[in-house]
Amino acid sequence: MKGWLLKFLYYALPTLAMAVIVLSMNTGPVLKRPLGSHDDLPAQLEQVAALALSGRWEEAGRAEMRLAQTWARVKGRVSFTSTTDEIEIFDLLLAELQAAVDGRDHLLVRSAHLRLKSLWEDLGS
Amino acid sequence: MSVGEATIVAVRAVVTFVSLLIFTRLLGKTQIAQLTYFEWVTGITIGSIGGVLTTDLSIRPWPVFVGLAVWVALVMLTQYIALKSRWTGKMLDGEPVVVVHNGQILEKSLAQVRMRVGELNSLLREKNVFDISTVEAALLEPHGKLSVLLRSQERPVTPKDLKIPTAYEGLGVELVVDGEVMEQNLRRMGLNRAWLLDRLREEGVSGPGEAFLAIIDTQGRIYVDRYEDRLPPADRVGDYPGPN
Repeated sequence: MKGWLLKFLYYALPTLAMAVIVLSMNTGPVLKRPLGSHDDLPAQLEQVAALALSGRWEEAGRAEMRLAQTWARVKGRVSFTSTTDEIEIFDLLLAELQAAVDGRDHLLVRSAHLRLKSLWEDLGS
Repeated sequence: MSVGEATIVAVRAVVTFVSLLIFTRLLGKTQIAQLTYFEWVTGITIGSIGGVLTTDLSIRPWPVFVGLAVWVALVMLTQYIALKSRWTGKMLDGEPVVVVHNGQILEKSLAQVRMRVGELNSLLREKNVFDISTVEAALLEPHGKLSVLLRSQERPVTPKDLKIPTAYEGLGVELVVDGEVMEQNLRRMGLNRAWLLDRLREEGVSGPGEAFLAIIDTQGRIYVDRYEDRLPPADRVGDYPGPN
C-alpha cells in the first residue's frame, strides 16, 4: 500500500471512529422516530388517553395492549442513549396506565398519560 | 442484569475502548509515562471515567463521554501551555528538590517535600546506596523518584576513566521480525534480500521464515534468534508437566 494512503488512513480511521461514536451517542431522537404506523408510540399513547377519557374503556384496553407491544419494540432502540432508570420508570408508568384503564380511573389515566408523555419527550435526548 | 443491559454494556465497552485508544494516542507518550504526580492522577481519572462510561447504566453515555473528552482536552492544553511557557511548566509539573548534598541530608528540603528520613533511606537503598556519605547529590524528582549522583570516587570505572578507546555502537536495526523481512530497513541500510539470505545461511538459518528476530549492529554483526530454541534439559526449570 502506498505511503500516502497509509498516512491518510492513520488520520482518517480515528477521525471516522470518533465521528461514529459521537453520532451513535446522539441518535436518541432519531431512533425514537416511528418506523411505521405500528411503531408510533406517542400517537398510540394519545389514542389510549383519548379513548379512556371519552369512556370507551374496552377500546382503550386494546389500545393500551398495542402501546405496550410498541414499547417493547422501541425500548431496544432507545436503550443505548437512555439510562436504565428512565427505561424502568417508563415500564412502571405503562403498568400504571394499564391499571388505570382496567380500573376505569379517569384521574389516574390522565396522570399516567402526562407522565409517560413527559418521559418520552426526555428519553434518550 | 438482563440480556438487554449486557448488550448495552458490551456496546459501551467497545465505544469506550476505541475512545480511550484514540485519546491516549492524542495525549502522547509523556502522559503514558506519567512523569509527574498530576499526570498520574489525570491518567487514573481518565481511566475511571472510561469505566463509568462502560458499566454505569444509570448515566447516559453522552455526558460521560463529554466529561472524558474535556479531561483529555484539558490535559492536552496544560501540556501545550507547559511547552510554551517555562514558568507555567514549572508551576504545573514542579521542580526536582535537592535532599542530599555532599553527603549531608538537607532537613529543610525534606520538610518541604514532607519526606521522613526513613523514606529517604529507603529510596537510597533502592538505588543501591547504603552509605549517605558516598552521595554527592540526591534529588527528589517531580514524579516522586530519587535521582542519585555518587561522589566521583564511588562511581564505577568507565572506559573513558581508563582511557580505553571504544567504537561507536549505535542502535541495531531489525532485518527480520517474526519471520518477515523488514524491506524498508534493508533499503535504509543499503542492503538487499540476497545479502540477507547469504548472511542468514552463514548463521545456520536457511531462510527468514526460520528466524524470529534478526538484528544488524553498526559493526555489521548479525544477531539471529531462531524459532527453534535449543534449550538443554538442565535449564528447563519447570517442576511439573503443566503450564508454567
